[in-house]
Amino acid sequence: MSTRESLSLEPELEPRLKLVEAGSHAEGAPRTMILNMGPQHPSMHGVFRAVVELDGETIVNVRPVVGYLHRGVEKLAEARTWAQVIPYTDRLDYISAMNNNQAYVMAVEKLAGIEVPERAELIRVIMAELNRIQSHLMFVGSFGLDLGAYTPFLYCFREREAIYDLFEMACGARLTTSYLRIGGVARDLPEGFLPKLKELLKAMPDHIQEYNNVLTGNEIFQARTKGVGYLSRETALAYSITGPMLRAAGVNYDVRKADPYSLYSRFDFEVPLGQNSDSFDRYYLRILEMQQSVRIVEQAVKALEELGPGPIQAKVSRLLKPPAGEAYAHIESPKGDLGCYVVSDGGTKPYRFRWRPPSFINLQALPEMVRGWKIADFIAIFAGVDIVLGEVDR
Amino acid sequence: MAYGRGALRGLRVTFRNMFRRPITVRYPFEKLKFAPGFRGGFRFDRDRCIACSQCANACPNNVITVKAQRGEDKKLHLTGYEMDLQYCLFCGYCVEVCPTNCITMTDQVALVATDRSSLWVEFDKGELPDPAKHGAHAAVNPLRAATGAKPQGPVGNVQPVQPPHAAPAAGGQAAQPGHREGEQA
Ligand code: SF4
Ligand code: SF4
Repeated sequence: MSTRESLSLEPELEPRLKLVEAGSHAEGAPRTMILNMGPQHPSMHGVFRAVVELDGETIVNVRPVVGYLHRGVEKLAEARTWAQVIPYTDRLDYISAMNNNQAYVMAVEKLAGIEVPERAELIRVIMAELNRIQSHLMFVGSFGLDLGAYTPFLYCFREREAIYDLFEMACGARLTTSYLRIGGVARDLPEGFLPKLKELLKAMPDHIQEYNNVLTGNEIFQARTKGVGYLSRETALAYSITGPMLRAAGVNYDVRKADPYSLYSRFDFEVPLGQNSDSFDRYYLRILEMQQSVRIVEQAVKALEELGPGPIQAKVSRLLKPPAGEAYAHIESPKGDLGCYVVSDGGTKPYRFRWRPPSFINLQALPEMVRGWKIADFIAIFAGVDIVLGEVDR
Repeated sequence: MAYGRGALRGLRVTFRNMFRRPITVRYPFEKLKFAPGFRGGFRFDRDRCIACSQCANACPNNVITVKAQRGEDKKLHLTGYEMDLQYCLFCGYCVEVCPTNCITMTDQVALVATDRSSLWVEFDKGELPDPAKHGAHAAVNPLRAATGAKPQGPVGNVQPVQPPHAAPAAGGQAAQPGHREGEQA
C-alpha cells in the first residue's frame, strides 16, 4: 500500500484516496482502494510502477507510470556521430540489442543510400532471429516465474546462455552487442561459429518440447492464463498494438511479411496467429515464433554456406555525412513493430533521432486488459505484454 | 483427460534433467573461458602509440584523453593517455580505429569499483599491475588480425587504481593465455 505523498502525482485519484483514507463509507462514496505496485516490486519487469485501483480484489483501473529509466537517448544521439549512436541503441531494448542495431542501421542506410553486401545481410538475419529466440526465451522463462513456475525459467536460461555464447563469439559482448555497422557488420563470423550454431538449432526443437511439457501442458499454468486478460481485436488495433500481442488477437501483421526488409522475403516461414487473445495465447504464440525463427536461421545458415566468404562491410566513410533528408525504417523486433526515424541536415550527426518502441505502445493497452480481473491475475496479464523498460523509457 | 497429467509430464522432464551433467560452474573457483575478441578491459602499448587521437575521436562518450606534444622533429609525441572508464560503453570503437593496434581489449571483466574516481585510469604512470598476472592474453583486434599487426606483448592492462588486493588464483594458470584471472577491483 502506498503512502499519500507518492500518490500526490495522480490528480484524478487524489479525491478518492482522501475518501478512502478518512474511512468514509458515506452513501455514494467510492469504495475503492489504491495499491501501488513498483517501481521496485519483485514481479515488476524493471522499474515500472502501476497504480492499481481496487474494489476488494477486483481491479477497477490501472495507471501505468513510466519514466524511471529515462536517459534521453534520443537527445543524446544528436550529440553523437552517426556511427556512435549504435552502442546507444543496444541499451534501449537491452534484451534484443541486435534487433535495435538493425533498426537504426537500416534507417541510416536508407538515408545515405548504402547497399549492404549479401553476406552481411545474411549474418544480420541470423543474429536478428537468434536474438528473437533469446528474447522469447527470456519471456517464456520469466512468464513462468511470475506465475510461480521456477523450473522452466532455468531451462530457458540454459538455451539463452548458449545464444549469448554465440553472440560473444561473433562480437565480443553478450548483452550490449553493438555488432551491426552502417553498411554491414563489425566482424565476420569466427571459425567454429556455424558448427556451434547448428548444434543449437538441432537441439532447439527438443528444448521447445521440454518447455511445452513443463509449462504449456501444466494444468495450473493453463488455469491461470487461459481466458485471462482478453483484449479484443478492435481495441488492439485502436491502441496500435503490434508484435505477438496483436497476433495473439488474430491480426496477421508481421513486418517481416507485411513490409519485408533485409532478406526476409527469401525465407520460408509462417506467422503464427492466436485465436482467444488471452494471456495463454500471448505466451504460446512466442513458443511457436521460436520454432519459426529456428527455421529462418536454418535457411540463412544454408544460404550463407552456399554464398561462401565475401565482404561484410560496404564502403562507408568513417565520418559519414548522409545527405539532408529523413528516413524511417521499421523491423519486427521480438516485442513488435520497432521503428527508427532519422533526420539529417547533411552533417556528421543526426539532426533528429526518434525511436518507436513497441513495448511503450503495447503497454498503453494494459488498463484495457486488466480491468475487471483479480489482483492476482494482474501479473499474469502484465507479464504477457513483455515490456523492457529500457525501451519504454528510452 | 485426467487432471494432473500435464503436471506429471512436467515432473518427468525435471526428473530426467536430474541425471544430466550440471551446466554451471562454481564461479569464483572455476571460470569459463571467454571467446577470443571479448570486449573487456583495456591494454595500452605506449611505445606503439602515434598519438593520432583517432581513438578519442571515435569514442562515443569521450572516455579517452590523448595528451601529445609536438617534438623538435615535428612529430607528435605522447605525453599522457587517460581513460575515464566509468563512462565507457565497451563498444570497442577505439580498438577498431587504432591504426597501430596499440589499444586493445582484454578479457578482464572485474572492473567494478565502489568509488568513481578509481575508474579514471592513467596508462603511463607505471602503477598498473603486472599484466602477466592480470588476465593478460593475446588481445585480439579482429579487424586487424588479418593484417598480422598483432600486439607485441602486453605493456599495460587496465586495473582500477585501487590497491589490487586479490592475489592471482592458482599460480600455474596465471600466465596461461586466455585464462581469466581472479583479480578483483
Ligand atoms: S570501448 Fe567505446 S566507450 Fe569505451 S573507450 Fe573505447 S570507444 Fe570509448
Ligand atoms: S588511435 Fe591508437 S595510435 Fe592513435 S592515439 Fe589512439 S591509441 Fe594512439
